[in-house]
Amino acid sequence: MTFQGFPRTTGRPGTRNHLVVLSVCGLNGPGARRVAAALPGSVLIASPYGRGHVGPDRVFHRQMLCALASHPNAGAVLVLAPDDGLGAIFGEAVRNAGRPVAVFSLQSWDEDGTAMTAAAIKAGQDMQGDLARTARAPCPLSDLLVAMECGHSDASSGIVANPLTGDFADHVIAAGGAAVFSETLEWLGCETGLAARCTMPAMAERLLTLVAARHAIAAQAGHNLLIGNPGPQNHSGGITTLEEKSLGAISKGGTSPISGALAEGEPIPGPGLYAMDTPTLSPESITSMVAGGAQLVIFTTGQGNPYASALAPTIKLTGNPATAAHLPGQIDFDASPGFTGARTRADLLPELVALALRICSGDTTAAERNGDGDEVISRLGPSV
Amino acid sequence: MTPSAILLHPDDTVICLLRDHAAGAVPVLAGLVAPALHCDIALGHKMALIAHASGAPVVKYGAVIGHATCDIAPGDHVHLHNLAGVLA
Repeated sequence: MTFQGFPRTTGRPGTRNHLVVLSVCGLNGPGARRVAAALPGSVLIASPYGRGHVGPDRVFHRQMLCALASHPNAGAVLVLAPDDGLGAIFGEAVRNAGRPVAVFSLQSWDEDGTAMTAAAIKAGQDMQGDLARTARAPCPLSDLLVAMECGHSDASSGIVANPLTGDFADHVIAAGGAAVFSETLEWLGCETGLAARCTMPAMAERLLTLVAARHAIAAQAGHNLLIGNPGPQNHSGGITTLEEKSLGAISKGGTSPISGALAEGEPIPGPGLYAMDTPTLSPESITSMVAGGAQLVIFTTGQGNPYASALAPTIKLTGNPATAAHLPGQIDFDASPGFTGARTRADLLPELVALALRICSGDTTAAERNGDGDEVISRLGPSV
Repeated sequence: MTPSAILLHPDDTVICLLRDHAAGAVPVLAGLVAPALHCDIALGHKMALIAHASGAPVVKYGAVIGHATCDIAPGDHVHLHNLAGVLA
């Protein structure tokens, strides 16, 4: 089983060959938006921060930008930076990944942002010409790393959408590929079961530590995550206990042994299944898994949710028939026949696999057609 | 016949209903005979497949989601009134 991807000189192949406009500091944001707007089809990744980060937050911010800039789906990169030193860090990351890069810093343009963006647009046009001439080539499914996310969930999520996505993860892993799921607080209540699935004792211990750490962050801020969770909406949808809610959420990871518990944005060595520590908000969670190397995202939703990764094609999947009917322009895969009982997950899986291979080979997702992609880098602490 | 309920894992002691069921109805399950419902049960909610003594584990997704807080008979609605998790 293969998809038509873009082989890279290092690491996994791309499912896309994007021109990335990377704005590494909030000072470059407006200019970067002009550059991206002038280069149709380019992907804008713009950090609103970039100075005054300290400690682990500083390291994390740079690691995340480097990982996104050298992502398999980045075919070429324009780096926009405030100064030469900062720009050089990201230029080097892209060059080391074997992709073309051009770095523009306000310092080297004597702070003339208008002239700099004009030059960046010209460079980007040349890059797009080269990217358009790059051909796809067959890649085995073992080259795929898929990220699993769920958002705006309802009863259909835990019964069909997430378990079907888990079936897909199992399928990719059985073929030698890799999968990752995240949102640490969704593991609360079933973390001992997840730890028992870890292939290495050190990873089991790390997974438990990650859950305890997120729990402690909430507790320190005065939030008890065990009160009112599951909430009234969960209860009316049929979910009784927190264990049950968490099991429904993590069912999107499938049933494979867990090869590792990773820090947020950490490179996913693969193959196999990985659990990544991330916040609950989907934009942060998805960006962190994409920074880890995911070239495809499956994002399940109960009630609907337009958000997607900008870098990695994001398949929007629902098990809710009303949502599938209401949002045909947003939903890529309608799993609701599995919720109405008309079809089984075993029936639906080959169709999901076929769709995923088509999308990895260049078919567009609804979110790509709608322009709903973005990347959002978490903050780990306050700036100074 | 179109299934009206789903067993998410072979080890589960409860099934999930795929539509609203009235008391007395027998959920249609692929490859399994289910007991009749003792009361109305809504879409997405759980019905006991087997008897659970008070304190017995309730299994869904092949994992323990909590314990019975009273005796639960096959066909009973399983929810807040007879099931409690360890955490919440």
